[in-house]
Amino acid sequence: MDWPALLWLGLKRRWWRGRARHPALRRALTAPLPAGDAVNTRYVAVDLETTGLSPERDEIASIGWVAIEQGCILLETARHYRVRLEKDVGQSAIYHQLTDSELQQGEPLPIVLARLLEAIDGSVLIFHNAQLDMGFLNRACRSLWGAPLPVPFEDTMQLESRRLIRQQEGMPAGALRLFQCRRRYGLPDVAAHDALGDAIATAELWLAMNAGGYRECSEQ
Amino acid sequence: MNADPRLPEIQSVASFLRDCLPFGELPEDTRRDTARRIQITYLRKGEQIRASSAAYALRIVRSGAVEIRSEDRQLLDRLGEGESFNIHGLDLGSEGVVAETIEDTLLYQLPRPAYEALRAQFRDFDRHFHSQRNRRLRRAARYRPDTNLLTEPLANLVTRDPLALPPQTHLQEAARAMSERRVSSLLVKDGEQLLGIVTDRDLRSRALARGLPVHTPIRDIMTRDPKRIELDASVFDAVLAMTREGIHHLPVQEGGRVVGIITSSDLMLARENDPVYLVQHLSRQQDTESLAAITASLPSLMVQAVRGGMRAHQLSRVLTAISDAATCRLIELATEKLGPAPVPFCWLGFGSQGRGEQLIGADQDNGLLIDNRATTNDMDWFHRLATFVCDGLNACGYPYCNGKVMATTERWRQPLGEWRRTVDDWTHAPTPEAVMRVSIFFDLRSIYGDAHLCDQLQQHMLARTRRDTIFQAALAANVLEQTPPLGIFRRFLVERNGEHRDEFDVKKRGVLPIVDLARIHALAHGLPAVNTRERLQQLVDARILTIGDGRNLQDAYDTIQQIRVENQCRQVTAGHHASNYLNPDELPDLERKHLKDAFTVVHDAQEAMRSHFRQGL
Repeated sequence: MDWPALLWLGLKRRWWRGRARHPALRRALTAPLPAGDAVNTRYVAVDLETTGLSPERDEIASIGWVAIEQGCILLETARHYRVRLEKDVGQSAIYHQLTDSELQQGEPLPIVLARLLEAIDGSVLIFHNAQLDMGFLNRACRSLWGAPLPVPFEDTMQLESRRLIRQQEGMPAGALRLFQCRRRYGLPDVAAHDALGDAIATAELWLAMNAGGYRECSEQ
Repeated sequence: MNADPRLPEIQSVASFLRDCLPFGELPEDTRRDTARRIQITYLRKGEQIRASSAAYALRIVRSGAVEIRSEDRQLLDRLGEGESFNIHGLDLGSEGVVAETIEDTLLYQLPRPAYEALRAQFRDFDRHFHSQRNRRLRRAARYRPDTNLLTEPLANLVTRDPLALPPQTHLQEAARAMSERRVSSLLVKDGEQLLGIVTDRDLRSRALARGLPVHTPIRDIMTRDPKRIELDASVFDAVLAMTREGIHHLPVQEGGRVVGIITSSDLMLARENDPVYLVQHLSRQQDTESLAAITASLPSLMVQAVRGGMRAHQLSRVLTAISDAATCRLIELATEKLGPAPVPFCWLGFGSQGRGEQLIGADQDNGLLIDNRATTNDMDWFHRLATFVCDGLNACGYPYCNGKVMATTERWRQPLGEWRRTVDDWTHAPTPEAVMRVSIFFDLRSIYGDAHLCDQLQQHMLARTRRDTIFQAALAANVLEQTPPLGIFRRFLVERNGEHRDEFDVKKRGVLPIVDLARIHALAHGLPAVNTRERLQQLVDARILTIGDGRNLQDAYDTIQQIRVENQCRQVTAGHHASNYLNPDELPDLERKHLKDAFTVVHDAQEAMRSHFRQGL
């Protein structure tokens, strides 16, 4: 993040901090912003499954995330929550292979969201297509707790898009989909397709995009 | 989705682990827990991991490739997707082992506590990482579910307490005893000593047909000093001995004492429809076409035999016996046509036939060794013999030799004296190129005719090779040129284009280096064996190789041959010709691992030889 963007983000956070009605959200907006040193920054890769593409009309169906510390994805931090839906699933259930009754077993959105906010405390988020997922998260926080979620994030899809444009490579349809991007970095295909699987796949892509010197996973 | 969101099932990782050795054998829920303990890193090509700086962890290659090298940069191992290493464990024996990514690599790390907990809890898991490479290989070579009767010990089929009578017994008495016992043969014994054997056929052709009186002693019609077999031999050995000698009864001995008898019908009852019986069948054919009709069925017989559990080294003995039989029959057919041989001679088999290691698709390597008394006219007869036999072999599916190592070539069809001079030429001023051309000559065996000629030539050859260090060095240089394709698990050491893209020649790169190693040591020490396994055994017996090295090489040889044979079976089953090309990606994980272990053994042995024969280089 460049400094004007960081400054703007800082201002937004201060503005909303006082208006947030939930302690977890307030904490998320109070945590110091990362210093910008990639190795020491903690990242959390997040993926949402939603019932559609509109944050206004559609709902979050599940959330998966996993943290990256010191350039190392820690699967111990992986979480996967199903969200209890208010409305029915509609068309996208076919795609996500979830049924209404399964989703009724999920937990209420406020609980899941609070868990996510605890987990991301002070971290930079990573998404593949942040616009969509952040749209849903902002909308959910705002309607539940009176403030959106102005937190720093990175978007592997945007990064890849910029790279392809810079290198003047063609961008055929579907070129920016997560698994197409992974292939260009020599990452393996994975069969599983759920929020957590995609969050981990995104985290790996992020590592591949930012691979530098050898990074050591700390001993436990 | 897991019921507890804080302990989610990480499907992609767990299902990857299922396909990795040795995680695949862990219980499902253990694997699921293990997946949650994994830490993922991504390394660019050319980065290094050392025990001195890296965290203690088991590292699993998720994608990409890693090389393990010793401190002096020797390649120890090359790992691909699904293979794992513990840099600290590798470092124990030798300081300074380093793992280096040779491609961009996604690495899964299992931290020390989780890794050690698994090793403590699961014995097989622990053994996988604990056991040395050689031990892993040995198990692979030795342990196979064995359903093949041919490999069973003879002991189960032997008739104990066979009918035995003293030599002065009258014919009629003997016949009566045989009828009473319902047996087709009797042993002629003087006390404990076996003098001979009398069979139904002997009673018919040697007694009745000649009108011998009924009180003639059986000593007069017995076959004296019959061929015997040891009790601990396999059924296979017995079948082979019978078909070779054309006999049906074999006294069985243990510690020099006859303890029983085995007959061909005992064996037939136990096993029918076996490739071994082809040997007999071949010797009854009346022309080349009918021989070829039989040998055409060899590929499918190979598949049958291997499916039945026959091991590669047994199969190669059977296939060699079959090609020997075809050769012998062709020589007999030629003699019927050309008239009898003017002087004694010996038909020589070289290369894989000489070593008794033939498989499907081997080309012919042969020669003629002729008595020194042969005149120019006589030599003409041998030329015609060679043409008939080599053409016949070609028709039977043993194609002409590219290098012209055939009896039809003048250089490979000579009287003994000329042969000796030729050997002198080869060993005296060797060029590597010449050595390569003739190296298969040193694996020679008498196939037909006067074996004594072959012995003389072999003795002369061994006397020369044994003392000539320059020749040994030339041979060694040649051997070292062909190294195993140690990188085969990735793309780089397979063929890059052409018909055999992504494959490598497992015979040339895997089998022949071991054959070459065994040969050069055998020649340097004057050992007469030509079969690779026997050579290795003699080298161990003579304390030229350590027991460990000898065994490792033999295991490596067996493993590679087995994988080669199974590959050929797959090719034949898929309707292709059997070839020696193999695509390592198509091998099951475990076989790939064993093949790699075997290549590593070959590599080590080559390195040892490099220094051993260096003085002459």
